[in-house]
Amino acid sequence: MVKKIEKIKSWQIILFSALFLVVLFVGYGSINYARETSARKNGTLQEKVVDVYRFQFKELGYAGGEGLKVFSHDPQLLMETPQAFTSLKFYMESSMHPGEVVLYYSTEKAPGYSEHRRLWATSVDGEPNWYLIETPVKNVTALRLDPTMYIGNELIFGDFIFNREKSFGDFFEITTGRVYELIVYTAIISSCLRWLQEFITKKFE
Amino acid sequence: MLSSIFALAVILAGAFGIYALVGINSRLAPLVSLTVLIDIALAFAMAGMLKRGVVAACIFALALCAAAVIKNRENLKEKLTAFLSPGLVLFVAVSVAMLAVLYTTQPVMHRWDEFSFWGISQKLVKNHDALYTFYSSSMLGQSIPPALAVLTYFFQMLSPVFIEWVCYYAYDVLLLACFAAFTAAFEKNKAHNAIMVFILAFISPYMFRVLSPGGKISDLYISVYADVPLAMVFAGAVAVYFFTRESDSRSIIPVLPVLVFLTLIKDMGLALSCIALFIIFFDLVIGRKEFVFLKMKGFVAKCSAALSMLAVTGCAYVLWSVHLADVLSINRSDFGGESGMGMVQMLVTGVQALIFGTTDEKFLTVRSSIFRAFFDTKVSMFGCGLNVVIIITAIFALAFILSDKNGRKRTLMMYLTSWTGFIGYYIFHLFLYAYVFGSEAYTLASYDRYMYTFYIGWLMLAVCCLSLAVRDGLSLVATAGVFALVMGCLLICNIYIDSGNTFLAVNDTTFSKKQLIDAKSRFISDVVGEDDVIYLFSADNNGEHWFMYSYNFVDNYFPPEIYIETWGMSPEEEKATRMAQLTKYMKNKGVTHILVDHSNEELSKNYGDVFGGMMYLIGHDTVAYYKVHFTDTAFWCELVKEGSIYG
Repeated sequence: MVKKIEKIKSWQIILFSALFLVVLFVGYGSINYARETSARKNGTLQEKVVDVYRFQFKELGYAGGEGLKVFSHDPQLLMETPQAFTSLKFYMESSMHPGEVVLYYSTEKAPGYSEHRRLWATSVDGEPNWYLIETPVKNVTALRLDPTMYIGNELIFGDFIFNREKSFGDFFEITTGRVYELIVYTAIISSCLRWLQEFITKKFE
Repeated sequence: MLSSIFALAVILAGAFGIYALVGINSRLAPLVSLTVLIDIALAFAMAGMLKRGVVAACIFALALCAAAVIKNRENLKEKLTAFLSPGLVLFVAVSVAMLAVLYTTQPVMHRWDEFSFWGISQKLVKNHDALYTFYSSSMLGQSIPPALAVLTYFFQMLSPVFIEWVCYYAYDVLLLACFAAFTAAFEKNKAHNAIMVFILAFISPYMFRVLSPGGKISDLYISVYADVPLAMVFAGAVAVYFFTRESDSRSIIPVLPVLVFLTLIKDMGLALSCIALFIIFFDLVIGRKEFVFLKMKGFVAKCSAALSMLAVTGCAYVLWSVHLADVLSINRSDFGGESGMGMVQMLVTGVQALIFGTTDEKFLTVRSSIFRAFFDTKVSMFGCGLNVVIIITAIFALAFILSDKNGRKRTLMMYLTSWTGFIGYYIFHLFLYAYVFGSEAYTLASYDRYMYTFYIGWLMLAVCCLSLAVRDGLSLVATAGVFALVMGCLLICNIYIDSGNTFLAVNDTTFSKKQLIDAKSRFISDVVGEDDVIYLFSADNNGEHWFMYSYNFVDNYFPPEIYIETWGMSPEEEKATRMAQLTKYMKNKGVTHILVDHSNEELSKNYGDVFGGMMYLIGHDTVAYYKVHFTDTAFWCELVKEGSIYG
């Protein structure tokens, strides 16, 4: 046994680690896909399009202008209805640079809003003024969108598209982050295995 | 892109030359090579010959490489194979990967001080092919040493224009060269250790930069701030000495160029250079038997080695001071600031106040708050400074237990000397806050940023000691220690960051503000003349846009915004006062044009008339540029160009 382990080559260890991670990645994607399709089938997760009036306004409102005026540094749009949530795409024109656009969510187990349950909006390529927030399916009890961080900003909202349909491929999207994780974790796992090999065969000075 | 590849190739060629001719460890070679080349360019640059300096550095590196090839033409293949140690392969591989990432994402400068100094200085150096001391500009801080600006210039030598992401890349290569130096203890059979230490070095700045979980994008590796390079070059300088096995001048001479570079990164570099050579000297005394330096032996040799390090550090500092005095007539020993003290005077006053007490209220307040900050200000993912020190102590203790006899002595000594260095660094910052800073001293402005420079460096020194234990001591257990440390750090990093808020995910919400200003700048760039002096109207903004515009139009002068006191006045009085004072100010500064970036009701109420009442329209995606005409007591504006960036 020890002899066999001693014979394992470095490239075999590295290949094994990389394959292991690929399996993990596919598994994770499949689980998310399965969860989301089943949630859509039984109706808990629905695509819906709403306007800004479905939210409660905090620290922003109409003040003569065309859009919603921001009264403080922490304006919020609140939606306190329990729902299954996976993505939000929305349209927002802003009279100045909005700064950070974030969505907080709270769940039954973890009520309240915290930086541990915060999602960042990214602007959508090729569609100016559209923002997108995505996450694996979650049962949330409330959502809070912080659309801007600047006082005096004037915001004009369009459609809010909740839980838009995703294609099968979207669950297995290979981002730079994934590639980076693959490389780094392959290095780490294979280093650990190499150490284990050394330990078992006691081949050290 | 091409320019970056060429610069990297030159550094590697130099590294191979140094490795093959001088015989220093190949993991240390990239850092030594890079600093030697930049030092050469710096020396030329101070004499007003930056371009020639860069050419000279390249020729030097290629000549070294050629000489090494000729000398080893018999066994070139073996030499090259030996050169490709794990640490060096990691350096090259990650440098190339980083180039690919930055080339695809093309990040732009986006943080405050990138516009006020670090970025704009590099843009000026590139545009003028000369150091920023040789011409006037609206940049602040001309007396800050130029090592990093020359480094970024070196990476753009073949590029016709200034490219921002290349600056980030130059910094990253510098950091990666330091990371390679930390893996210097590991030969091929210990490649897994090298990987782990490299990863640890790579993530260690994150642990001090990201202080709230799930936070917004961290600018680490896409930043031209000097604090992280300062930390890594400091630890790198010690590592270059620490891992050499030779007990002669070959362990000292490679440190010299690194110390010169460190001293010229920023003013604080001098202090860190002194701490580094202090640490090295005591390690020499305790850890090196039969040390020979330039034919001298024993304690004398050790003292002269330390003296040579002190001499080059001092030389670098003096050279820049002389340059400043010569070109700008600035006396550098004068720190300026609140009390206008010189450096020596500050140290003397500070030490006196510390030992004999003082009645200076500011000193006492700052002293108690900086003392408390060590225990209650969060400076890392681990928490306050005390927690960081506990973790560093634990790593040193582990290294001490697992080392061989000589390693134990060296580890203990390194721990003691680095503690001394830390206390010195901490007290130095107390003096800076008390005597140089203004009212922001009371809130200890940027405390965490100043402190993590030392903490990161210190952490890496502890890791170096642990690496020494892997090399010389109980290897297998020490390896487990390194692995456990890396796992622990990764675990805590996973709570705070994911790839979505690192340099890998450059999304628009990070850069869109700058991109917006860039688009506006491009829109008016065809009507902005070379000699235009521009006053900026940007309402609802804290001055960041002013910095961005003066960065974009780096050759134009932007007088700072004037503050006009109008409290308690009636609207008519206010309007008249504003008009009179602004006219006077603009005449004084020689303003020729006005740039309206953003207007609001207040601006349009006060100044709407001179712009023909159109001003309220300027907002998010629109911009307007006016020519200013003065009458005796007022001014009026003639529209040059206005419109939306979307056309």
